[in-house]
Amino acid sequence: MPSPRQSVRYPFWLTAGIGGVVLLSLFTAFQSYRSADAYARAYQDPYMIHAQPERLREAARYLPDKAVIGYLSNLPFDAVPGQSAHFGIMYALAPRLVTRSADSQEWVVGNFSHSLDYAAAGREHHLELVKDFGNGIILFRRRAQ
Amino acid sequence: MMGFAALLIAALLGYFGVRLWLPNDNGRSPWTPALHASLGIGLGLGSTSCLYFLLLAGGAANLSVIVGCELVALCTAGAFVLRRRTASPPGGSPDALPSFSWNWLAALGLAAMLSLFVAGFANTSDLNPQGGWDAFAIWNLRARFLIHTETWKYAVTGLPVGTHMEYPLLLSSVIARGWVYAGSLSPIVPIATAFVFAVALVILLVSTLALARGASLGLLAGVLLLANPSFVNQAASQYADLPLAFFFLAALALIVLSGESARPARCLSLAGVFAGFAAWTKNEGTLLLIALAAALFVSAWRSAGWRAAARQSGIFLLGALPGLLLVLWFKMALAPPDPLAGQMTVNLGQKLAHAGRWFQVAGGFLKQAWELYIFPGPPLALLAVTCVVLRLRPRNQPSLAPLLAILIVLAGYFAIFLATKDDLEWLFATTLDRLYMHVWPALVLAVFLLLRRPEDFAVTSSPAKSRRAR
Repeated sequence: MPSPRQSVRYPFWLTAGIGGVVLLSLFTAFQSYRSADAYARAYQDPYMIHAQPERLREAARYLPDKAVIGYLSNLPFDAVPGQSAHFGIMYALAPRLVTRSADSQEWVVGNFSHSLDYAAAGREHHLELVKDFGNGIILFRRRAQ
Repeated sequence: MMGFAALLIAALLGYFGVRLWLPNDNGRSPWTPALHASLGIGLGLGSTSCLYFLLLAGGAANLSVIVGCELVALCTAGAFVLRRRTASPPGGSPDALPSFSWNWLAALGLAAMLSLFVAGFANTSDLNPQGGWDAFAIWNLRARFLIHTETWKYAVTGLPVGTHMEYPLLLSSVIARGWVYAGSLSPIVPIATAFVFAVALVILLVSTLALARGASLGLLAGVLLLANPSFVNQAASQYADLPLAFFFLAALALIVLSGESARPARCLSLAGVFAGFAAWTKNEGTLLLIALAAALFVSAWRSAGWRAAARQSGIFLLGALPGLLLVLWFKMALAPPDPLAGQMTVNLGQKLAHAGRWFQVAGGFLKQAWELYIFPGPPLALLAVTCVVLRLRPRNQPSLAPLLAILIVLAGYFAIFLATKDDLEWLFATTLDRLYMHVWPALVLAVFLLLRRPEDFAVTSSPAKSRRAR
């Protein structure tokens, strides 16, 4: 152990090197903070997930609490808009399970990006229209066989 | 508020657990409580996640049962900790050298980096409280199914829902438990969970290195960890990758600390527990567990022979056993088949024999590593500069287990990319960033363990000679 009279110094290159690493890290962190902020502002809720619970609030009242629900949409599942639309509905209606099929469950939620003949779309899957909520959300119920 | 109570109870439970589990090797070091607290957060969240899931599967996961079980465990562990409080052994700093007089610079840098991280995390979470794609499509979605005993099986359904119902459930169970405490599906719960894991990860790295190699290296390592732009992005995305990185680092840290412990078996068994939690967090966690066990075995074999290696690996795997059994039960009895496992064998020989595919995968790995970690994202470049400044330690007792574990993990990821039938360009763009994050904190730990400390360059004026580097 150094005696009390000893003084300890460090080479300049060492303190300068460590100081440089710290400053460069801070610069990097500041830059990434700025870019993350810009990205988050530019793409706020890009898949509209946060907006879905409000959109589905009324429809959810019609659905059984913990049931498996079907899903019908004009957006195909092989593209991001169709997938994100389905996940948005799933997220908002959970703990109900919303499958990707309109052909097996008693209750089916329709989620449409534009207006069309909803009743006809439902008939193709033996569904009858229960209610059109006016925001692209349609509730269907399977017809008694 | 009750959502925060869920996190607090888990953290306290974990802290008491770590205090009881680990020997009091560095009792007087100011970094010991920080290490215990960070490990405690992981142990608490991991163990309450397992407990919650078991109660759920047993049909008993209502608030009163959960709170009752956890409070009994908390009081019991707390009582044992109080009884165990004895005089701390002398210890603390790794040697008698005065600490680096410029530590304030690294401490200030770390405080500033943490402030930027907190500001960035809060800002992104405020603007996008639903998190990234995998958060709302996998982890938080499945957590919503796990809040009821009647709906938890939806989280492992085989029905066509377009998401990964075969993934393990540690993170989703932690979030579901928080929602049960909160009594609502508040977005604060997954946000707070992501934040706690990220901050615990930083504290864990800093305190581990501070205890193993001194405060100067610990603080500087924390600065470099946070110099990774992906860190704040992935934390705010609420993905399971940072929790996985935490468990990997925790296991590695305990393996490293076991080398200097009076009771290494305790450190190794707890390392195994964290590796088990990694397997219960993501599928990749099983690979991390295998890599840790293999790295521990090889490094122990090199230093102490195969008997010691088998003993150490056995203790580690014994610690991992509960988590592994839970994962095994989950995979065999509950979860739908893993599509990745099925596709691995399709045309496997053809894929492996195709040299162009090897080059394509290697090129993708290197390109992403360059763009994310060297230019324009510079964390690996900064780590290299640090290596130039501090230089490698002499080869007396290098701790090779962390580097070996990281290499095995990367080799495993490489092999998965070789064998997959998914589009490679899509995989490079969407998954490599997260896979690299699994090993980034561990890489910082591994590299810093190989470096000299600033104190090793101290020049004492009387007598006028420089100290020999360690």
